[in-house]
Amino acid sequence: MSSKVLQIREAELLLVRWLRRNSFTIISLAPVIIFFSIYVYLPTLYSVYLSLFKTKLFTPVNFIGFQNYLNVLKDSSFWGALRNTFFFTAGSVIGSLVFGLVLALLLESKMPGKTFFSSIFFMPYIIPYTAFTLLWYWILDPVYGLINYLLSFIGIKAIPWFTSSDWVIPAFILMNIWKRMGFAMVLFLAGLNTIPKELYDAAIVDGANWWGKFRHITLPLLRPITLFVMVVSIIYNLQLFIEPFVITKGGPSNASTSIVFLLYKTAFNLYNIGQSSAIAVILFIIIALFTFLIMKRFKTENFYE
Amino acid sequence: MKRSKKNSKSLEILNETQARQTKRQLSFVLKYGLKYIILIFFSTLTLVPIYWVVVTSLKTKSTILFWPPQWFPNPISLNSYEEVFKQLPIGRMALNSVIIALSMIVTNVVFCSLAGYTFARKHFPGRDILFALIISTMMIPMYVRLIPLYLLTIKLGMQNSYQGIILPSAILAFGIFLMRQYFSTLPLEVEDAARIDGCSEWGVLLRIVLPESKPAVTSLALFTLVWSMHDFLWPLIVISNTEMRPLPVGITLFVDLFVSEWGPVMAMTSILIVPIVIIYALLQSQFVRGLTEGAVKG
Repeated sequence: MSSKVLQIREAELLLVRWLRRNSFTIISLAPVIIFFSIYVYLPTLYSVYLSLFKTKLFTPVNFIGFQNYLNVLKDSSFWGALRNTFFFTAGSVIGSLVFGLVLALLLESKMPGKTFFSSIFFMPYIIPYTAFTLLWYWILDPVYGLINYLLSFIGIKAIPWFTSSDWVIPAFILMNIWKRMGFAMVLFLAGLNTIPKELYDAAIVDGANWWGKFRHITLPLLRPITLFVMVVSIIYNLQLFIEPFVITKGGPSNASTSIVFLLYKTAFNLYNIGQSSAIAVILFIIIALFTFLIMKRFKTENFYE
Repeated sequence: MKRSKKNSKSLEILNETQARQTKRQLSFVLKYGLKYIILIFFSTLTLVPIYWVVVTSLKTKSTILFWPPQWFPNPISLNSYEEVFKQLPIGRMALNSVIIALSMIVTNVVFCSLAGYTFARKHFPGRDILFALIISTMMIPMYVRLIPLYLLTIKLGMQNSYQGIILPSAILAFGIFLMRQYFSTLPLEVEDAARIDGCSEWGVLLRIVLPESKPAVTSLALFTLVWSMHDFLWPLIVISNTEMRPLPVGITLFVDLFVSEWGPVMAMTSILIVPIVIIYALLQSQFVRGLTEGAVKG
């Protein structure tokens, strides 16, 4: 009996000693673990759970399996939203990467004004999203907007940016290239810094011209950073929401309805939480898929270098 | 005869080198001139929209609609600003934004530094898996967990409160990543010396590591500031009371209030853009580092 008590005491002492020795690790990580469980992991799992239920207002009522998913996939407005979102993402990712690379190459060498120019190009990236959206809402106004005024100098007639279903997504793409090309540029500049100068010297000895150096040295060695910028930009752009929410309300005739806009509408206008959660899970799967595919390329390519 | 021939030949060579030199100079000027022209062109494209917003906010109702538009507002009018301040509690909304941003900065700096330090310096089983589990959440968009977060916030009675807005962004995975990356570049020797001298872990972190990490802390603070200003849908659905709305969300209400009244809308936009552009101009190198770090080292 007394030996058992002693054993328990001993175990207690050991535990206390362990806790004391690791108190720093425990105290420093506990808030993070608790926070990420409650605010990230559980809500994400609960979204999956909700997507399998028929819901009434905000409470799950009947388990219906994958019925919500089938409803989403049968709905033509989902496919429209998917098409709009992909079109937007492709245009704005390619555009900001190309312009970002061009600007980085222009600023690459040590030249006076390098920091000045690069901080100008980065500036749109820090402008709060709603301010950015209203700014372009005004500048792309079909009648009084600055862009249409400037275009009139090169003989282009007024473009009905946000009021035409053909122009609304290109307008969003234009806006986002403006906002994000500086971000791509900064990352490309950092990537260019890591390329050893000897490689270029060797190429010059071998008689390579500018294009040869670019194709055979710069581009291949920039690939890891390019893929990184691509992943970040794709994840970000697939979440298009504020532009259609503030400017077009998804219109004209659903031409600017994005996946997240549809998610929002299904949840907070139609109060169909189950179906909205199904859209959320589908969005997550799409993002995970893109990330996985690009990361896989990244890994195999690293292997060869 | 012979001599003069030799002379003329050397002259020729001289001429040739001179010509080559001027040619090189010319191509140098051309190359750099062209570079600068393109850079100035792109800078103009970047800056003109921001300039245009501020200019529009200073025009009158009628001069806004002038065609061709005025590049300089004449007369300069503050009517739009007056209107904005009359219609909306701008001061209160700006205060909300400041409170939210500062709280997020404090929680992120404290908790991300703590966790980042432990991830960088401590060895314990499961550390790398735990770190990967946290970092991979950067891939989960806010929208995916929007509804459960909303239900949770209501259950906790935090709708229409600062905590309701702040809590989901109180610890950002990117912040932990940023701090860990930075801490692992610091030399171990100083910390070890302090430990031998009897300094506790808390002492090492607070007295030695953190003072060495001012650039990383600044970067994290600025990243969090930008994050808090970009947040839109979350504050929109959690707050239903105009007085509690942060500025970026408040201005979208304004659009519906003033259908196509561009003056006041641009005044609101300027109120939001100008302060952050000024902070950016003062601290731009830290901004760039804070928002792009990790990409480079990771």
